Amino acid sequence: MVGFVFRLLIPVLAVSLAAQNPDIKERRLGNGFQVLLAERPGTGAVHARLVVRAGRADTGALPAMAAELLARTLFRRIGQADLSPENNLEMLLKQEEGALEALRLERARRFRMHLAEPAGEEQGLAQLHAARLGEVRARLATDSPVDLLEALGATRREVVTDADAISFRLDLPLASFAPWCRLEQQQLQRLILSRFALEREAWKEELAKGAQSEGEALSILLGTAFSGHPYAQVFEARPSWLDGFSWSELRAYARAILSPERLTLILVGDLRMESALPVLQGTFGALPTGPTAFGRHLEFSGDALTGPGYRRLQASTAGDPRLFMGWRIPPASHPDYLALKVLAQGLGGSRLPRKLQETKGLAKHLSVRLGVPGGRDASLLLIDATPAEGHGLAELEEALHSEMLRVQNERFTEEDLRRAQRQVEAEQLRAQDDATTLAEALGVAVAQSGDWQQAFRAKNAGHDLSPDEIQVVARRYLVSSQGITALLEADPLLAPRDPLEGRLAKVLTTLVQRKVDDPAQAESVVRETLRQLRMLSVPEREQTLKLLEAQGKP
Amino acid sequence: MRWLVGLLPAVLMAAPGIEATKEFRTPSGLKVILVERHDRPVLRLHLMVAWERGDLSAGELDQALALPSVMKACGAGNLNRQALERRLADRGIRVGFSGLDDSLSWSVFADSQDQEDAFAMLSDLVFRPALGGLIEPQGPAPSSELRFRTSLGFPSAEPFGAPLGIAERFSIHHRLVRPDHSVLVIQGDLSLTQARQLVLLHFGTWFPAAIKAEVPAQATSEPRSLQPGKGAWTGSRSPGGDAKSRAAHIAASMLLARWLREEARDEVAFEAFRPDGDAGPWLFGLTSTAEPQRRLQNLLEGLRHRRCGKADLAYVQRVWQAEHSDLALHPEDQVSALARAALKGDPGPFVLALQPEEVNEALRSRLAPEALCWLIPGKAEPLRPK
Repeated sequence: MVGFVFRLLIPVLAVSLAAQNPDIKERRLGNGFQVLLAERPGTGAVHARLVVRAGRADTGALPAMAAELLARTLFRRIGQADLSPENNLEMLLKQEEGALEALRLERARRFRMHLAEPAGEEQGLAQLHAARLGEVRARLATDSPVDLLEALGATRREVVTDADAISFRLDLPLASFAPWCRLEQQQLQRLILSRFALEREAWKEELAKGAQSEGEALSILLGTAFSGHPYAQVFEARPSWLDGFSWSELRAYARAILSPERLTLILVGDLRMESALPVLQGTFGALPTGPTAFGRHLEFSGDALTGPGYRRLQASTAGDPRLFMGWRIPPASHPDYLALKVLAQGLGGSRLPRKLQETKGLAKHLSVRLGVPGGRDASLLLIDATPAEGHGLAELEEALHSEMLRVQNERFTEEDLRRAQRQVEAEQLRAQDDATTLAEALGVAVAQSGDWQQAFRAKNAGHDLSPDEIQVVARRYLVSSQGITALLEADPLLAPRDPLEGRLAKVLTTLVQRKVDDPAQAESVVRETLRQLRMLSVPEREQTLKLLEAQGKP
Repeated sequence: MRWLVGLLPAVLMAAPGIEATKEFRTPSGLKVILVERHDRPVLRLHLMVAWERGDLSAGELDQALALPSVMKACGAGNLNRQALERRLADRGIRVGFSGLDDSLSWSVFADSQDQEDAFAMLSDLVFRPALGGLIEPQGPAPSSELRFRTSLGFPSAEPFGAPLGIAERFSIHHRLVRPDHSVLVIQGDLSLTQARQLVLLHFGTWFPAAIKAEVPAQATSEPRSLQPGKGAWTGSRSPGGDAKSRAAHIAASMLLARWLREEARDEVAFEAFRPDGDAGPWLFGLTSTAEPQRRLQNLLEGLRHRRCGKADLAYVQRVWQAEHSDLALHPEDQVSALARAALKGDPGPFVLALQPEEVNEALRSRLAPEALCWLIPGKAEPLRPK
């Protein structure tokens, strides 16, 4: 009652959410460079996000890692060396490139000849390369002791590389906006890539420490789901590939993808388009146009959507067991995408967690993602699940499969659907509130569809989606012929997860070999038995081991 | 540089459609700050509860450490966690929770049409958390480093005390989470009258629990064996104090981070724990060398005697200003900064008015050998006094 009375007391000042769209001003400079601006007068600062509409899927013949290496080299730090063509840094970088290439070839020769130890020549080349790298490091320390971005007061800096785009964001005091535009334009025009060698070495160290396991797991799935398509390799990363990149090669790649037609600058802050435009035209507008055909420009043709039919794969990987269940869906610009978004929200937000986690207790973790790995071309609606203690991947797969069949045959309840749509709309409302999230939403929309308004499509839909509309897209896309399933877990024979499993494998192998002659069949029986035993608790497995050991005694 | 003094409050408030802040208190002592903003139909609530260095007694450190995870897993009012999450999802309301070394914070973001629900959810989460369904956590105990790090913020707490159960954690919650130690910042599309009514309706019954704080016991300095490992960690306790006295420590920690980058590159891990840019304990870790303790001691002694000059201070002030100049673009950080400033005082003007000698004094006192506590993994027996 109190609540009801109070509602009457409070006039509803809020405007309908659906009517609220951010006021974005858009300009295209003479060279094709795109500018989007959300004016926030009085804030005294600017959030800038520079989007290169070419990501990991647009590296052409180079591995997808090239996009990330370029992003790190360009945007992590800008020094004086990136702006001055006078010094001989370029010569040093070329020498380092030559030394590394010679070392790489010598190493390749050793592997071809199956030599375990490096010969004197290889050691000499390694020393030569280390010396050249040291010279580059010393030169940068002398020529570029100051990070010019830091000197401008840039904060909240971040570089993100995904399948469709490279993005660099930062916050600047208002007074630093024009100097930053000049700085960025000079760097993009000269493309010296002074930190190439240092960033390559730093990334190698990160990879050696075992970073990027998330990408590795997804890479197995995408390699099969999008075989032959650029999306197949977007998460592949191997330390040895980094040695294969040369400074000259990365520079040629950078020149091609950093053409102004592929660049979008998103600004949120204390700027007016009329006053910012002269600065933007004098800087980013002066960037020369270049070839834009580098990499494979993805246009949705529908081929990737139909795909090769249902696939199921099982792979041995480190870490917790993991189940991926995905279906091919159209690009983000497709008319069905909004319904798919609401469907994914409904599945991941309430329906699947309620049935598989709360009711059946089968999953420890469960999430549903849309547009994996990108949204410019056909991609995946992906369920990512980890089984709960005492449950296996196969059991979880079966439960998920039957739940997805239900989604096709039974309509979403009105309550579940409204909740899902409300959440999608609320997410878009939240995105507008903060400068970073607003620029990110605009950047993703531009990279995926070329149209920033796609970022607020849910709010602009103008009507509530009906259960029938959701069921139509579920029947159209979430069907077996569009699907792929991957079961990832450590193989019990190749990588026992604990010493107890190793002992169980040994005893079981002895027992099975007594009954089964075919070694392949025996191995298969042992493997499957060990998988089943993983469902048991440690004391139960210890008890099983004792029983098996007793049976194994002659 | 003095012209910069006083800039921060203006920056904190600068944003389109924002009017001046208005303040009031509830009878129970809850301070409320309203930032009216009518350019968007949204409401943001941020409730921060601060505690002091002496609020924890010996043996309660693990409970304080686990409190954030309990608060994230518990329900609210008569809703268990699952029902609560469904209710939030129904309304499209997002709630967040964070636990820092000196405070707990809850945040709520909602469509302004759902303001009553937003206030109701927040009040339930803060002072009517629901235990139903929670069982004893099965996860691993906090690591030695984490316990050590947290103990630096609470000098009276025993870093390696025995863990207690969920009920004890709730007892700590009831003692620490008090209206008279809290501030509620409301930012959004509502008036002062509306805000008063909503606050009184939902927070009017929140009064301090009648649980008395125990007298903090002295921490033991007796060495204890830890899991074997390599490396050494050392820390300097949280300085506490008012905004003016914390300013020099903030500047010193910013400078230390820079000097360690220059002198030790990535060799030394350094965390200054500056919640929202404020002063906190310092933690240094070194695992890469054969004699980490000696190396760390030498390094810190060198830094203690390195003097902060005018150029160093200018660097610190420039970075501080840059870090805070963009708050108006990030409403969530803006309300969090307002809440912290209201509870702990705003050190910003004092950072910008510092003199080098004040920073040098902070460095000398915080890095003095007698001010450092050491964590050295391994057997304690050789270190025990005979």
